[in-house]
Amino acid sequence: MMRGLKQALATALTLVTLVALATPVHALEVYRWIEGTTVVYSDQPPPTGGVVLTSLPGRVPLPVVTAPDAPPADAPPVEAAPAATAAVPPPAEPDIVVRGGPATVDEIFELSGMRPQLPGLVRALGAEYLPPAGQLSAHDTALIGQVVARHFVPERLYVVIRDDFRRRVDHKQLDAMAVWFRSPIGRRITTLEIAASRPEVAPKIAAFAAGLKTSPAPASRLELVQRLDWVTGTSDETTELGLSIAGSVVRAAAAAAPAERRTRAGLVERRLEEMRGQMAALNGQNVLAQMLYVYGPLSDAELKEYVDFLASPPGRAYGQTAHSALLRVVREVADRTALEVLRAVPPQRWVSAQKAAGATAAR
Amino acid sequence: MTARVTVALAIALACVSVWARAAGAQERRPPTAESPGALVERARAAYAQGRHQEALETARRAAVAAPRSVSALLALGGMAEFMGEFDEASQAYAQAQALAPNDNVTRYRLASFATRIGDYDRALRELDAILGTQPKSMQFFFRWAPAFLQKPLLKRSPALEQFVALQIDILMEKGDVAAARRLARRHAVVDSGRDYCAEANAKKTGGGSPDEVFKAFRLAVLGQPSAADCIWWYGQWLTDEGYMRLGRLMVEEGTRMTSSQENKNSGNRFVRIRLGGPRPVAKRAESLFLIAKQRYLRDGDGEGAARLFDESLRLSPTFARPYSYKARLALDDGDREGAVRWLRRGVEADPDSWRTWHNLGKVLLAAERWDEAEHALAKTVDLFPDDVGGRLALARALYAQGKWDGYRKQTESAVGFARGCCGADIVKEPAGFFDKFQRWGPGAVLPPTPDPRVILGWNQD
Repeated sequence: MMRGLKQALATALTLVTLVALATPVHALEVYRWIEGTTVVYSDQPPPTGGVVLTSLPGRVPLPVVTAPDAPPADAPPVEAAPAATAAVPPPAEPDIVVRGGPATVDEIFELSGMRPQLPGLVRALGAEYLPPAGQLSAHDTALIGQVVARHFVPERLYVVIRDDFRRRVDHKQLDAMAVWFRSPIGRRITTLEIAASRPEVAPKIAAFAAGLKTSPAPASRLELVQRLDWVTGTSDETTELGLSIAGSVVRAAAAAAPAERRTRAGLVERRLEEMRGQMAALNGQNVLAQMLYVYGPLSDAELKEYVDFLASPPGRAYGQTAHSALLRVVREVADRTALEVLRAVPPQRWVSAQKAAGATAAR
Repeated sequence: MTARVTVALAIALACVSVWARAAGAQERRPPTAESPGALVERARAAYAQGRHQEALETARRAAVAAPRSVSALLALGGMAEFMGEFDEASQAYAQAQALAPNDNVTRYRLASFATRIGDYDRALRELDAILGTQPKSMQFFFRWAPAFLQKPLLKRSPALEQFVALQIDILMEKGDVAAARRLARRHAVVDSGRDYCAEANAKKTGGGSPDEVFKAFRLAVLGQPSAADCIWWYGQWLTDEGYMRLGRLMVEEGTRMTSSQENKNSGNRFVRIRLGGPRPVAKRAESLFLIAKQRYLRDGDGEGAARLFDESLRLSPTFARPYSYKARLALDDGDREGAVRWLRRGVEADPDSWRTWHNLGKVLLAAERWDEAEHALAKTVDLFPDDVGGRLALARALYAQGKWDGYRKQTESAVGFARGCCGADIVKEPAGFFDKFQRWGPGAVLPPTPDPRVILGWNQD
């Protein structure tokens, strides 16, 4: 019985490392490998030279917006930041017009960047289910691609998130949020966030994060980004999002195992809890580094203003409601996707493919 | 406790081995692959390799194949006893004794089994019968020789030493500590005038192995009746190991002996909220619980464990600990509501069971049923105010409901206590979270709820 249990769990964990975890636009280098039946996360490669399976997600970008009159990032860079970090790419072309009057959910999501950024995030999440090139046959890879494409549809997810959000906030709250998102400082900050969220900026962020070891950020700036993370719960949300993908695959793999070898649901959840701890520690550091980069061009006073908004009742209402709506829909979609992926390409095919790859590598 | 288990196990294995050889000689033929002798050997091998269920099944086959083979029956009895299948064990031992009524190995096994199921008088009778088979001179010497002669005797004969140890254990389990102490003195297991308690404490602080420390405190109990603290400590250790009855006896003895009224109150509270208070646990129920725990935790045998937990509860419905394990099994199946139901039954069965309230609160917390969790956890820390994990969990329930003052109060209390007793590291995360809360106000994430081990006697169930 124990043998069966361990095998089922190992299969699940093998699969989770093949396809799990959302990789948002810019992921820092994090290694993930298997030791026995445990998934290990580290910012260092495996000591025994085991297989590095994939990278861990970096932070999910904060809601951002492109605004017609976003001022250039003209504030002086943070003193200790490497010069490269100040070279944030120019803001995207303006695509909305800020207006007055009562706010709508669509407007808030447009201004906050939820809407413009969602397609990129959804694509990145869906891509996590795809096997590395050459691992599975072209036919199997195509099957998985079709399943992912069916479920990770940005427009559909947006509608669900928007409707969920609408049910949980009232007009008064929306108007209060709009005051910030429509303001010049609000738009400037979202411009910075959008600019930093582009895929081509990822290497710069990684270099910046590495540079922090020798040139740490000033204490006042560090305090501000720590508080930003505190009021938004960004690192925690990032972990949850990653776990929603990981969990979907682990659960689906457990369900796909023969009844006599099926891992009990509670044990699967316990294993995911262990993964949460490892992921959270790494995400916490990554998120802080990314925040230091993104908000480098802001003065402490400007960043404090932003943090104060996010800590205010409308800021909290926005953050909590938007993030939980996003998490809910991603969990639902992830669970459905994982089940269908494993139905289309059963676990045995993943495992044999990985074994074959391992044997080839060993030779 | 390891020492006790090791002794019992060594005896069981030695007996199986002896009888396997004896059976081989009696049958006068080499064992074939499926001969009873070979099956017994295979059962032993499976047992030694941790394949306990297979060991039991193989021993069953051996007993079926050779219903008149004492070795096969003893093997079956041993495996069944080890797996908590007490009726089957009892039947196998009875059959073995019917076949070999004067056999000392069988008597020894029966004595051991009788102790496990709480039939202490039977156990003592079997040991007396074993002694009765020895030459008169040997019996006389063993019974009446002065202590200074007993010591070398026991040293030369490990079997005799085990015999005495088992007798002492039986008397202790029976609740007759005074008789156990007399026996220990008579056989020079302990010497008068020696400070065993100080030696045990030295071993504890000097990094002795758990087994050594445990043995040292056992000697303190036997050799120093006035060493209240050591007796109490021994009782708390037993409590963590799951030995409700002996643990209770020791804590009560320590409480009786202590001169401090505060300690007496503390001891009484321990018995009430940790050991069932006025709801004693039947020995057989306790043994089933201990074996069920092993089958679950060591073997991953949820099904077998569940059956034994149920049987334990049938025998002692107010025994709180099995309810927590039934809840854990439900959680393993992803049945959180089932877990809540088992824990609610547990607190109904024993409303003073601190640990059951603690577990209930944690499950409700995980289910984000904040107000119910708050109620259960408030009860938890009311019963045991030094429960750091319970208090931090209560703090989280309060935080989730925006009850900031309550969160602040509970966290300060938990962190302060933990730092005082066990160092700052043990509550590093909640303390860091609390500092941020104090600096920046409420954050987006709920506070962490580690459940650190802090004080002996309050950790495992």
